[in-house]
Amino acid sequence: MDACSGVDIELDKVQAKFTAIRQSSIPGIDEVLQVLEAMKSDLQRNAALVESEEMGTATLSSEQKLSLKLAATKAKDTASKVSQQHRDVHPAISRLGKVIDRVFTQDFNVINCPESLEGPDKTSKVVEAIMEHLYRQGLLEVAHRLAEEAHVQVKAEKSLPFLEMNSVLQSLADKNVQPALQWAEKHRKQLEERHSHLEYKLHKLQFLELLKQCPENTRALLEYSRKFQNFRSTEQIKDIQKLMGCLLFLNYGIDRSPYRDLVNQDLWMDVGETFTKDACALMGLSMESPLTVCLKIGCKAIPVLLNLKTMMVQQHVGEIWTSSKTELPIEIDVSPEHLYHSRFTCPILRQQSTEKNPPMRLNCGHVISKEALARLAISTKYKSQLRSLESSKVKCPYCPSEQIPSDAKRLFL
Amino acid sequence: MIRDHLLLLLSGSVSPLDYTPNVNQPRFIIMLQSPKTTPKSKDAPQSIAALVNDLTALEHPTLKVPYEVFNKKYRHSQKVIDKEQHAVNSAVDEMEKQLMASATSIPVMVNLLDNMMERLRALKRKTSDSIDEDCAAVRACKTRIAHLHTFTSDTPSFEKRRLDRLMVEHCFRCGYYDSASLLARKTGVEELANLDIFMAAQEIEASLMRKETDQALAWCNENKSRLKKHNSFLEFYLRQQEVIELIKKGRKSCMDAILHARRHFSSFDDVRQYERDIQKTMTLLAVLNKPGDIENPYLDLLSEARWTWLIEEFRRESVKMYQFSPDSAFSVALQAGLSALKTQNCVSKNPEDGLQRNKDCPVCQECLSALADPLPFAHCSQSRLVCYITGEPLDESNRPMMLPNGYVYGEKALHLMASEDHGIVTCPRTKEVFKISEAQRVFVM
Repeated sequence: MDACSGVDIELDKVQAKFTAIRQSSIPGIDEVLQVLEAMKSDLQRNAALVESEEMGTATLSSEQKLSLKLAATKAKDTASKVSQQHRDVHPAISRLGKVIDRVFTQDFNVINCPESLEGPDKTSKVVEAIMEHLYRQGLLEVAHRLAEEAHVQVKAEKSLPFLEMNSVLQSLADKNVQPALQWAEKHRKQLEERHSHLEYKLHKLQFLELLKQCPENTRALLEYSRKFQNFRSTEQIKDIQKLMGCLLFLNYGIDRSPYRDLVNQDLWMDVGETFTKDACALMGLSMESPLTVCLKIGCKAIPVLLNLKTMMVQQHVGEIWTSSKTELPIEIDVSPEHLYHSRFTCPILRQQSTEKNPPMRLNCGHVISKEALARLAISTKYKSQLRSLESSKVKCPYCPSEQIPSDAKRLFL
Repeated sequence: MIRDHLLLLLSGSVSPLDYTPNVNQPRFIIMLQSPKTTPKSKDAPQSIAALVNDLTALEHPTLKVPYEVFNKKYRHSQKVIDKEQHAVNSAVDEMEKQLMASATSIPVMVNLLDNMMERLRALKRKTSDSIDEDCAAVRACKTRIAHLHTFTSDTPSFEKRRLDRLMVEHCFRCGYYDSASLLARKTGVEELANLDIFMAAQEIEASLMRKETDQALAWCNENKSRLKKHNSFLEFYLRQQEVIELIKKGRKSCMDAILHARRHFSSFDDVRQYERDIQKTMTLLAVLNKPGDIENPYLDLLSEARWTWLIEEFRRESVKMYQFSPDSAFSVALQAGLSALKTQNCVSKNPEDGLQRNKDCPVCQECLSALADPLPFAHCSQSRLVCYITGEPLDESNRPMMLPNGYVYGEKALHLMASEDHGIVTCPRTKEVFKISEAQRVFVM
């Protein structure tokens, strides 16, 4: 069962109890009040009667006393019932608390490396990281307030690239391509180096937008289509042909033409993504906010690490955890888009490559670590001495080919 | 081997059934083969079947904090209702007393009746209000649950909101109150961010900043039982600070200081645990008259920084009080994320050794890499290659190729480059030029 559902059920129970109080206690009080009200008017009438007959101050009859007494007891009971009912919710509430405690992990600090984030310079680094994220989100105001409150000095130019990017993205969201086009024209050369289609895509959008809005204005459309003559790659030419094809259906209606897919596509989203990608690349920024990526992976890693921790404690193998501070004790499954560096783990020694122990390619193409190769060479040497054979060649552990160890080539992944 | 299997099991790449039993390790076999039938004693830790997931690992405070608010509100409601009930009771008692009397005049009785009805109405009103408040607190918990449910139904939006609220909480916990509430408002996570708790805390901190202890002491009083349970020294520290401030004023107020100390220090239940602090504080009286040779421990007591320290102390206590996690979830997740992404490349300082940073990698970013420095590296049991040029993973469909200089790139990227430059490829890292035919295949196991 879903973890939240358990808590949700308990919450519903508590809520039902409160509803029950409202439905029974409040009317209960009303009932008593009504009885008392009736009694009061009864008494008042009685008193008025007595006074009108000038028989002195009216006193209560024993009958009245009795019914008053009964009413008083009722009032008392009702009041204590209300309080009791409210008190009776308590077990449900404490159960709710216990369910939360049981289902959710209370202490999730798995890495426990305070020196990573504590200390004045680290705190300000965290603040800087948050600020960069805020710039990206276009939350400049918040970023500035944060800089003030945390006493962090950040150079103004750090926010500039984001400012430009955000304003362009905003206008793209408003279906205005002009700022993006200006940007693309300004950076045309760099974009060409990147083989980016951004400028073409923007023109295409603009053309389709014209087509949608005023299909009767053929002249303007033809005029605009001249802009496509600069785009000559095979892919683009095919696409432009389609766009021109649209012109044939101006009177008939694009929506009923074979080209209707062109106008229905969500090109705005795509162009926004292309722009972000190109702009980030040109400005030397990462595509995604580093903080977003980090937290996303972190939140995925924590349960894995927690589970391992629990299991190790259960199996009394807790030592591995604390002793391996240099490497996480388990692999965190990172999706391909968040794999930023090649990772080579020697298939023989099961160690990750380091500067001192780089991957080596044998002549056959198989890759093992330098250390594995060295060990292989030593053991081969030892064997060959015993058998007094001439060669000091090593055999690839994966295929029959043999080679001299020094022929292996160091790889840069 | 067992450990490896456990790791695989955890990472989800194998199922418990894939395990081939090993006669030397009977303990593991029982556990792995029949996780559900293992008798579970009451206080046994979670069995394999109850592995934590993304939500249960990190979201305890998300629910527990509003629960704690609700719990507190409920207890307060109970007090209010009880008080009204007592009022009704005393009105009833009064009337009963009159009824016992031999002769009771009707007007007197009518008055008493009025009084009683008034009390009952008050009870009705207060009960109704209290239940409204209780229900509002329950709804706050429900909002959180609804948010957590979006984890499965709409993961991307859940992730964004999670980041937003974690940042808000982190800022609050660092004392960046204005930024935190502004951020919460701008990102629309007010309902998930416990604003009221932090706003109340901000007020008390501001009063401490002004060197006023009243509000903080009132807060201590309000939460007396909880603080006692946590064995908190906060109230003592506040009183101690009051005494110190009186001592600081000089000779004239020394007597006041002594009286104040006498009145308040003695009211603590277990005075013994404060003994050293009290001694130190009271010694101040003696040493203060000889400035110049005040020694260090006493100087600390007189320092202005003690107020900042008190603020931090208060913040720690209030975080504990409302059942926030001891460390902010933001920082725990940040550390875990950094660690999971950290490779040798990210920390490489020497570009010559073939390891290089990647501008898309969070750990390679300037500020985050400083944070990642003391953290462990990611564990990697299987090689995973990425094309330096395109960032795509290298596998069967995009085979890794080595240029004669030892640099490895993806087949696709090299062919694209060659097709544009008559079969010539330029290594983007060393700028050396080769023919595409010189590239050789690389087999990584």
